[in-house]
Amino acid sequence: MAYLSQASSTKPQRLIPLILALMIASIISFMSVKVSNQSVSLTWLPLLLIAMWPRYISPIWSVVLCLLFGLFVDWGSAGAPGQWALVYLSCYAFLRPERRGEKLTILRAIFNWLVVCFVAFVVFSVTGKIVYGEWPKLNYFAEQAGLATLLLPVAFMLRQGVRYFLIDPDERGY
Amino acid sequence: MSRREDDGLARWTLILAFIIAGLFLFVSRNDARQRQAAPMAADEITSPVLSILSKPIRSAERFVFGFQDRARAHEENKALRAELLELREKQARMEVLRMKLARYEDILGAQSHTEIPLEKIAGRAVSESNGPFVHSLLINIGRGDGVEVGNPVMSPDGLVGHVIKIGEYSSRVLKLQDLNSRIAVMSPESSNRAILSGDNSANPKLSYVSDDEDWKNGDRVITSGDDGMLPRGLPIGTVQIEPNGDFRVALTGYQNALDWVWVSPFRPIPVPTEEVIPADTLDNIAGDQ
Repeated sequence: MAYLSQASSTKPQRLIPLILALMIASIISFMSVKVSNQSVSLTWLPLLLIAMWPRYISPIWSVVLCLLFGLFVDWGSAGAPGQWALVYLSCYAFLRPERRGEKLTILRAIFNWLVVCFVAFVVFSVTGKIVYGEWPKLNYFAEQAGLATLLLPVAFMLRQGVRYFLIDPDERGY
Repeated sequence: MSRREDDGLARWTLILAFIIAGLFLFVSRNDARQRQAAPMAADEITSPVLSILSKPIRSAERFVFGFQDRARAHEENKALRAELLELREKQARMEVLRMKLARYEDILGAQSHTEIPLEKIAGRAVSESNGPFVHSLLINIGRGDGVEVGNPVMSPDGLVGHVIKIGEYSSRVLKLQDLNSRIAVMSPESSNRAILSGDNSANPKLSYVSDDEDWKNGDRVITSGDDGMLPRGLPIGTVQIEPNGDFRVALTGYQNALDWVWVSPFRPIPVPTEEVIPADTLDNIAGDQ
């Protein structure tokens, strides 16, 4: 695995928007809303961030953040510690580094999202089977992937907006 | 640092992170099955934040539910009037029965009482986990408010679950749908007994149903108190018989959005301690025989 076109170092202040976004997404993922007698939660929201991970964050910082926020989500949702961390890390690792290094268009974001959904489905199911001894119900994945997909355009636009305001015009271009 | 060295370091960091996450999962897998893996400290940190953030969401839910309620107000009003008439008659009968019961208690010198504590500790449900493996709830009251592990948690409509972990200011509640939830239940009409087993679906199933018991569609289900962990009489839901013959329970506690809940500070029946009888006492008993 070669981490081509990746920033070799990251200024700490550049991590702040990503950490904030991860915190907000994690906290939202703990909550649920009652919609017509059905409880709906956005557990897969942080995965959208993995699919649209900023290019300027160095791989080392990225891995550390995936691990820490994965553990945070595991603890906050009373799940098995390490399960979401493994899902986030696998999704991050599976998106080829050269792909992450390219400019993120909406088509690229959709492709990344499909890859993330597939990896998350496999890793979450296998780790769930190992820990809890049973396979998860497929409708859970369909519901979560569907809800997060609905938010994909919003997340993409937010990312573009944040990038426009926070990144130097010289660096923004490529 | 050269690009090649960077790549190597990044690769090793990734491998190390995988090992750390895998170790966490491996070490805590037994605790995770018992829903005891997550440290309460994480809940203590997230609980105040979620408490604030959940307020607008709960308000929005109330607004939508209020709108739906107003839309069917006319029909509900009619149904409630009919129910009120029925309840008035039932209340009159109950008064007579209450007086009779008091009279019998006087005659027999016995005391009948309900096990459900009158005291209620109110709190807010700040986070709900409805994953494929775990169904739990975080509430913003804890040890400092008098909550104890095992206490039942109620919504205005019925039982929601019981407390499995407590912190100073927050508690983790195992919902009835969770795979680990097992509650002794009964039907107040027929006194049929069963165990309500969560299986991560919306309607938990009734297990250990005896063949000679006749559960029917719509039978009310309440806690039986047979497990000694929960008081008898907490409302849970109604029976639904599946086409394949399985008995499931439509939970009433989740009819509306969970916002305010209360904890009943019920003290479970203590486990009898094994008393060691001194050897000389045993000898005396044997000698007497």
